[in-house]
Amino acid sequence: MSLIPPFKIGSYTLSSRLIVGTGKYSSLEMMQACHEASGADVITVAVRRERLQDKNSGRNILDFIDPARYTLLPNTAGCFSAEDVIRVARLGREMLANSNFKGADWVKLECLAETQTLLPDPWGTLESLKVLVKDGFQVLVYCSDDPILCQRLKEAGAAAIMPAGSPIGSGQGVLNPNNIRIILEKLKANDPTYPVIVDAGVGNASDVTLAMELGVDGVLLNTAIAGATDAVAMAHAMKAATVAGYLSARAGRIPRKLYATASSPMDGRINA
Amino acid sequence: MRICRAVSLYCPALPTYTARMKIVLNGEPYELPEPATIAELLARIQQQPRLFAVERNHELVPRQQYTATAVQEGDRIEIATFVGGG
Repeated sequence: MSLIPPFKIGSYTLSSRLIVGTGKYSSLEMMQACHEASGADVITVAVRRERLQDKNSGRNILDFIDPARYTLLPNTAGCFSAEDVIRVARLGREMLANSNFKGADWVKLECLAETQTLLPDPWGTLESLKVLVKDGFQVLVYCSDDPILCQRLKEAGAAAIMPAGSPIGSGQGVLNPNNIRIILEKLKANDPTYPVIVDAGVGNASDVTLAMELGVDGVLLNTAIAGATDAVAMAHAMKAATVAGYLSARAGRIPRKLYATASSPMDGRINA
Repeated sequence: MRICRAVSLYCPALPTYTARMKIVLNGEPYELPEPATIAELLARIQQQPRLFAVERNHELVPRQQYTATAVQEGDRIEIATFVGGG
């Protein structure tokens, strides 16, 4: 569906407005089918310790992602300090630089404060962002929907800002559309192509459409597809939802009115 | 050898020389029977040549340096890979 134009994040051009994760799928085959159905061209992966026992019996997630079709976006999910974020980003880059996958020089920065809310730690986020930018990474920053924080992160060199709609995996959608509107206004002032992506909390297709209608460039989601009862169907829905939201946002909607305006002419009614 | 024995008779408290090395590998204690490089450690644990990266004491070890980097007593080695996650 090329009804909508591609967009750029740093040196990367994305055809799809959806970035999808790789976690919590019921199987690797399911993950592969959902990626296909979603139409995404960027897939985000986490970094963890290699399992040193039973290595050979475990199937490798990358065997289920086609390097010719998808670009990988390493993320620092599960990092609770700036130091860990920096370490994980470098590990991810090292791996991709020695692979046939694209994506070695960008990273999704996630620096969390606590496990209950999985809210980002603003100070750790900013601190690690500065180091990674200096280290040559293109950094997509997961953050809260505070417009001033988003502005500071952009000023510190983020390649994209990714405010949360609601807590990770909570399925509540965009809880504060007004903050997203303000973030868009501030970050795209004199810089209309600066990428802003809603990341986290998306629950269903209408959440995605609403986010796109607010004017964001894309949506990053994982649980909304992986945790759905019919994950492949939800992946199709999410793909359609991004197109619907993108087009609707630019099609010039009708105003909201208190009272009715008839759709059919008043002239020529048989009982007039 | 005679000198060593003589020394150990007079100084029984001296520990017997051993090349065994204790490190922490992916968070677990691990013992190497002799000094090794990162490359040798990877061969010892039969690390498969899929995507992975190595840290030594919280610092990334580029793969070009695996044969040149010695593992030392007390080192914390991490072998990381990609997994599913948001």
